[in-house]
Amino acid sequence: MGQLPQVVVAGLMMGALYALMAVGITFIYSLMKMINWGMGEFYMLGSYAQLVLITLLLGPSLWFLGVPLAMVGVFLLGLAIQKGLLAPMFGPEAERRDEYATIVTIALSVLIQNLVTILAGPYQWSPPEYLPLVTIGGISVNGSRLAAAAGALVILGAFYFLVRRTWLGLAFLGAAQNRVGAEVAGVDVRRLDGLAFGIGVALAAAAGALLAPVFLVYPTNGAVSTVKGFEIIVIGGLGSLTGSVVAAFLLGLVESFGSVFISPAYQDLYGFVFLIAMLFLRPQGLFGERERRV
Amino acid sequence: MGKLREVGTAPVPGPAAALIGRIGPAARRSWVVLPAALALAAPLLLSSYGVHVAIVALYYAVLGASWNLVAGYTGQFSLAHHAFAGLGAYASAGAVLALGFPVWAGIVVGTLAAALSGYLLGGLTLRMRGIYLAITTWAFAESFRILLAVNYQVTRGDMGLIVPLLMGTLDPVPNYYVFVGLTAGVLLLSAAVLRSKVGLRIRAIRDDEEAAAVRGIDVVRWKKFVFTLSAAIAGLTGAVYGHYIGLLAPSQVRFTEMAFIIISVVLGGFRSFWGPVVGAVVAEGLAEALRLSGEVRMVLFGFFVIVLMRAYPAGLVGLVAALGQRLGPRPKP
Amino acid sequence: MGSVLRRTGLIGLLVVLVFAACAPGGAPAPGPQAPTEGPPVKIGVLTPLSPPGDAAAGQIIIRGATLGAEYVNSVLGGVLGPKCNAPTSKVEVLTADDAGTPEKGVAGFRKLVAEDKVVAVVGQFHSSVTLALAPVADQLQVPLFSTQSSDTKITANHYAFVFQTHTITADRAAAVAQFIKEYGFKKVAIVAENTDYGAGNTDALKAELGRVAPTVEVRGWVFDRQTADLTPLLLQVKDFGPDLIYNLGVGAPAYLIVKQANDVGLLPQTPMVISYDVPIRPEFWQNLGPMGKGIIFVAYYHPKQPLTDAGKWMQQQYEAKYREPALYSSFAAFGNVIIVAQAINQACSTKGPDIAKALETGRFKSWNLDSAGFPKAEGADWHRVKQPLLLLQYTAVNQPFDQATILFPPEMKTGTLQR
Repeated sequence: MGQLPQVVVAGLMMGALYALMAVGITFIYSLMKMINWGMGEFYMLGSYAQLVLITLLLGPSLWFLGVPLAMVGVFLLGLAIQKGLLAPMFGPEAERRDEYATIVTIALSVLIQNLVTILAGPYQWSPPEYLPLVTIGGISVNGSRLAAAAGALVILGAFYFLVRRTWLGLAFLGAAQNRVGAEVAGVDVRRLDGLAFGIGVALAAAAGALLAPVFLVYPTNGAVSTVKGFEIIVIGGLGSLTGSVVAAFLLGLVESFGSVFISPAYQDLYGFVFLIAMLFLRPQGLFGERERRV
Repeated sequence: MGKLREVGTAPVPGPAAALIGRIGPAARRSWVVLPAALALAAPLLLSSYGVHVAIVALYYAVLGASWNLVAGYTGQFSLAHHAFAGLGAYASAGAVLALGFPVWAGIVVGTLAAALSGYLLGGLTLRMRGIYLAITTWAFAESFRILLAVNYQVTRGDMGLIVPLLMGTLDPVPNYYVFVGLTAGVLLLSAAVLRSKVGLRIRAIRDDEEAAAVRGIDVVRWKKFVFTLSAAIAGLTGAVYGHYIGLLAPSQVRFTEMAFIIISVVLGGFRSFWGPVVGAVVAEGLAEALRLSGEVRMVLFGFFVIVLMRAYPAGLVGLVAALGQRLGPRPKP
Repeated sequence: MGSVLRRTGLIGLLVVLVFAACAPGGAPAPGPQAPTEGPPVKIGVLTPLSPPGDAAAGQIIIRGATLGAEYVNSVLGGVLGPKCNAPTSKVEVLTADDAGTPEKGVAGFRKLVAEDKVVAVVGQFHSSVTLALAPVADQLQVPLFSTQSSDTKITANHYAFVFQTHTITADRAAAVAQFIKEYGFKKVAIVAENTDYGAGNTDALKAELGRVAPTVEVRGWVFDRQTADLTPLLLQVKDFGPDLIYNLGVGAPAYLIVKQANDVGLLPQTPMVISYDVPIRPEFWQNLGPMGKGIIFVAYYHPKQPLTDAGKWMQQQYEAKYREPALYSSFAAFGNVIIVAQAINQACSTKGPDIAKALETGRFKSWNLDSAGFPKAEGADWHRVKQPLLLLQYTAVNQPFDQATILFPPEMKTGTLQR
């Protein structure tokens, strides 16, 4: 078991990237109380943006510039989608917006995925590696993967700063906790919805862009991390940002250990087992509050 | 904006009540007889290809109807109906191939397996907000697909599992009548459920869960009941369908299948009784008409659904009903 | 009695309706002069064109089939004709999408046969679809060609109307096992995706090695096709310490295995065999860069291998038309179409049973074989043409495909294994 440190490192690095997806989903949920089922497609768009940016415009050495550019592009797209498709259903009188949001985002994901397949073809592409193989203390780590994990931590840090240390962040938190209250206090909640949706999908795009050379670029590459993202937000507690981050790292470790000690064939099943176990033992999730319902 | 509410409170069961409410008894009979006659005569009008497509359409119609029972009438979003169908098919195949059951008994096993998994998933999540059910069923479906593929020694994975045929023939015509019967049976069953006290209760739950609980309705129990019933129907349909196609593969449990079910229901009319049937027939027909380019057809579907949800959530059935109202005798105010 | 009467009445009504519906677009009135050219003979191409099928492969198969029809019409001068006492007909290719799923496949097959009236269907790629279609092909009596699906049951089940031109699992296993034996590898790690292809080939190679080289130690790992992170699995492979890795991924997994084997330090020291010809795709070098050097791969075709005149025609036309080298999938579909055309000519008939009979008894020119036949042979050799397999190695970064060293079979060898 000399590979133990390598297993831990691999798990933590995956955790950082899962955290981006999960935080994005949670952030949108906490404001709009909806799940964006098309998260994987925004991940995919981020990866294509990165591929195009660094193979055609920036060159591989400027990969770290590609990521924020991809994020900005997807952020703007998210803003437009929210304004055009979702916002109209989120007025004060709208009902059944859960259903509306679910159906529309599922349809959107079908649309985007197939549109990209038409435009770019079903082929797999990869931008050049960001960094060469790195060896730290006897463990060799894929440079791009290390760069991706580091990039994920930087982006999560920036997100934390935005939410906790800025006026906008306070408005977000206020609106997440009490929509009406925030509105009374003069916050334009519906504009916050748009920003939250944009930021949420930009986080998914960041994960896609960072992982482009690691997990390749093709039209369905977002599927797996989306499922993981959904599992994580339930495990961590619906609506809890801290819970999402913690659960993301936990899931990364569970998968990494499960693959080594049980079987790698079941790698993508550990998350589901974890989720079911959580629903049994602590349905509100690690950091969730028990719902006061029925 | 108010449109969704209109649809939501539309009286639904009683076959096509919305459509035929204002038409005389003779015409009313023709409303049931005409589609029934058309359905029964279809194999005479269609080539074997057309009949096969009709079977696929009916498969999606029944899955859509069972999904609509949960999503439309209780407001609980299941994202695993394709997986329940797959589970029914594989469980039936297992019973037939490994245990030597006759096909019909295999189908019963498949139905029960799907019902059991629905019951367990429902038990875990239905006391919480609807999103828990959606996420858990989604994860269940993905995990089930992976499980099928990984255990290829048992399931043959993507190589495909050859299963015995229900009617002993690949000829679509006899199988078509099985599916017509299945569709009719499932529709009658859902109409009966929706008309019964259970139906009243579940709609009360959907309209206002808190109020329903206050009125003494055991909210979780009825949600669980409908969800289990719906999973069982999906399992039954999947099992019968598996014994028609004669080959099972994990590709039947991809999320695209679920998306197609949702798309066809929304197209036909979400939360309307006939919506899933009309939607499935139209969607499968369109899918075949556009069969040359799979992606283009999916892009169009995605687009239609978004436009419909945004502008006309009542779907095709709502459209026909509205036209009928406009053309028919004006109701007295 | 009454119900019978009513049914008859209903049928009568329907017949009238059908005629009414057909009338406007019905058959044109026969022209004054007899036709010098017969109606086109249609050949269906049923292949994956949308997910979950492998749409990339489907497109390349269509290219080949289309060129096959062009070859038949321009070089062979069409089908039927004076020899058969019939007007000469052109061959036309009609495509349909099977989406890689059994039900779409069955729908597409029935459509091609019932509505488009095709005389044979080529282009099958996914084994699960081919297996679902096989009994339908027998029922409708229309020949079905497995252009690139490899499951053993396709031939082992002895379907009367199913013909196999692709390498089946056993051939691939035999070639790779011979290669392993010949180059003296002792410890082989198989890393396979959990599909028809990956799983089937793992079992076949294990069995074959047990037969021809029982001293070789083999271990297999299976992963889900969607799994992106294979490092935990590859760490186990590293612990095993193989001297050869057999990469049984298709598409994204094939690349991911190379990349991540590199990450965990398995590559470049340990030679790796990729089980199919993905390294000839234009994106291979862009995606892998220096990691692609030293990769060994199984190919069904090498530009320098001997081709028939039809194969050479196809090679040139393809490059001229698509500005990239032709791939095996195209050759295979091309071969299927020209074989069907030859079978029609030998049978002087476009009826399925006649074509199938001609296929069973005749000999045909394909792209790489001058005399291919589909006899009713034993076991999995039923209705199938054996294809030669090659193992190639890239010895430099960005090496063009036609410069790759041929390592196997021994009689075609152009260089030595570089480690």
